[in-house]
Amino acid sequence: MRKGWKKIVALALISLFIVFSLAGCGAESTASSGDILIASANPMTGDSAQFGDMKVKAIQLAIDEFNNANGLNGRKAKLVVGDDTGNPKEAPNVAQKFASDSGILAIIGHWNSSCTLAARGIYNSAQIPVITDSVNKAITDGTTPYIYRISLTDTTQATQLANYAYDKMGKRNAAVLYTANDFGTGIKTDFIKAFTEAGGKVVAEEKYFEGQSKDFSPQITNIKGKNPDLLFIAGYYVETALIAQQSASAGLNIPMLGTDGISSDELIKLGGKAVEGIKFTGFFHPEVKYPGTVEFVQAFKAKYQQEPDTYAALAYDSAKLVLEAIKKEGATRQGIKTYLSSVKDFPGVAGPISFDSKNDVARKIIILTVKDGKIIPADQQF
Amino acid sequence: MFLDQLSNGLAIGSIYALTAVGFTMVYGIVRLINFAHGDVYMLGSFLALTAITVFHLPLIPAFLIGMIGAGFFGVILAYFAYKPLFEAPRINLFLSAIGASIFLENFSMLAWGPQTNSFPKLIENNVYRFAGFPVSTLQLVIFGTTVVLVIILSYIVNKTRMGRAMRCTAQDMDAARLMGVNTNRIVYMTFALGSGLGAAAGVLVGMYYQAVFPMMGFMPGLKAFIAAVLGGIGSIPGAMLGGLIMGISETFGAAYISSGYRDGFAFIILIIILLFKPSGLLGKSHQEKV
Repeated sequence: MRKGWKKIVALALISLFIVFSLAGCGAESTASSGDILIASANPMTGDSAQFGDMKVKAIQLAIDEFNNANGLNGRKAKLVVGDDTGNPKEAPNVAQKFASDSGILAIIGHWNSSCTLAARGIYNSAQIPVITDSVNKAITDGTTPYIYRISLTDTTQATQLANYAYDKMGKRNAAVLYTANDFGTGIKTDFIKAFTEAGGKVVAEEKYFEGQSKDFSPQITNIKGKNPDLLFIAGYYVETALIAQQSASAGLNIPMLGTDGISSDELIKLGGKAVEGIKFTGFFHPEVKYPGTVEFVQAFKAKYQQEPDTYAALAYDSAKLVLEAIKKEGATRQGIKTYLSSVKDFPGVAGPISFDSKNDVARKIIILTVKDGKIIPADQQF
Repeated sequence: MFLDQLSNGLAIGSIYALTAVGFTMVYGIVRLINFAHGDVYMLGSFLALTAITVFHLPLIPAFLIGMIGAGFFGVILAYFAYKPLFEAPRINLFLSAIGASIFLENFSMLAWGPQTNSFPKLIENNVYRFAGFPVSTLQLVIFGTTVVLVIILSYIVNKTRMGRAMRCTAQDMDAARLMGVNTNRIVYMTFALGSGLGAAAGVLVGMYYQAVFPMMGFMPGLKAFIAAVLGGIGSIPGAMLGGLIMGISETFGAAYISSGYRDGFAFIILIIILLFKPSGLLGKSHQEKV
């Protein structure tokens, strides 16, 4: 009797599961005729999930605005969300899926440099335009003309940070702690190069692997032994928050400098007091105003009850660019590419956008800092 | 410098030790390599975090809730994922454990979200120095909790009636059943205790690094396995020793050779020890019964 009961429950569960997964499939591939599909390929789960979430929210906001303004002569735009989990092994699967769906006109993503590098070839051979905010310089090496970058390369960012550290902060002996992936190694190499060229010395160089361990005490103890006057961290917000905390408890109290990879409120939630005073790069801040910045921040806050961050702003600009391209050049992949290659000073909320011959933009870096649990622009800019 | 690194290694080593003790206990009795152990550790951490942030409980009740809650999860896991397979070949049990691990990771992503949560600071962390050897409050708490829990565990296993039944079951489950031991109850009890210990380690890690996230159990689960094998799987003092060796060798490797190969050192040590002592440091090699 009991066995029979179990079987029925098991069967019921299995059928429920099948029904749900079928429903899931149906929801995913709604290429209902007439919709203009734009895809987001970003981390929605895993350590960088926070950024993917912000980007999707911002893209959705831009699409809603487009649709409320009657779309493209009544045709609505629609967002398709893919999850690369921040893992370069997963990114090509997402890319393959999007590239083979002829309804999808453009991709916004990936966020992680390693993911963009792993996926860009697939997009390029499918001739689908991509706007990424990854920073690794190899992404725009000229071999993939369909990939555009809306943020700065790691080289530009690292060089500017190194000069800021040397000239404005007056630091001479830096310690570098970096994450051993395409993003971290790229930034670290360029930072060390620029910092030594400026006349400074890199006294310690330590690395860690994303997601391998949350214990940085051996590295921090080593760094402390070298007596640096600055700790440069090339990593993401989770690890940076932990490094800041563990440095504080190990008695390493020197100023910290980070990259755009940590410009998130989560940094403060995780790091608390330990991240007070940390300086890092941003490409956007609500207080640094361009045409449309105020409206964007208000609309974002009204819709999601939170402040947009750098990536939300860049994703919003990316989506606006794509939608403008569709209006100007028609709803085709080729049309979007033509528009992106020729656009001049598009009014983005994070500054004007034009792509150069390598598909890179030129934009100003803002130095941000944490004060009283809030991210604000630092007193000293460039 | 050397003493600083030794202290770092001891702190992380005692966490590995605590995780490995629960792991080795389950293996000793059920002969199951419980790959979901790391995820029970993560669950313990999340349960304690929820108790603190949602129900505003102080640390010690939250700690107990984490342990008891995870123990409860351990029993449920044993009932649904392992019990139906006890008579099946070992490999099925092993696969079921991997499935349970994936389930728990995704369950906690749904329940608590995929992002890293911060664990509130409940203990003021001061650094003391004894003859140049630095120790922080949290390291003392971790080390102390590990020692106390292992003493309690040894008492249960060696001095109580239930402990005797556990040792019988470990020797020969069928014979124990024939002697009137309720082996099912013993198996569940083992899972409850093992999971509780794993959860204790999880809460301590959450406190130490102030970060709790769904994948936090993956690496420690593997490390606990290595620590248990290193010390001789099935042996509780062996797991303690294995955990400490792992923590210290990992820290020294990261500090003096290269921080990038940190996880590699643990595995290298494992291979070297297994080459010379295949049953582990404190493991007893005994003939398979025919």
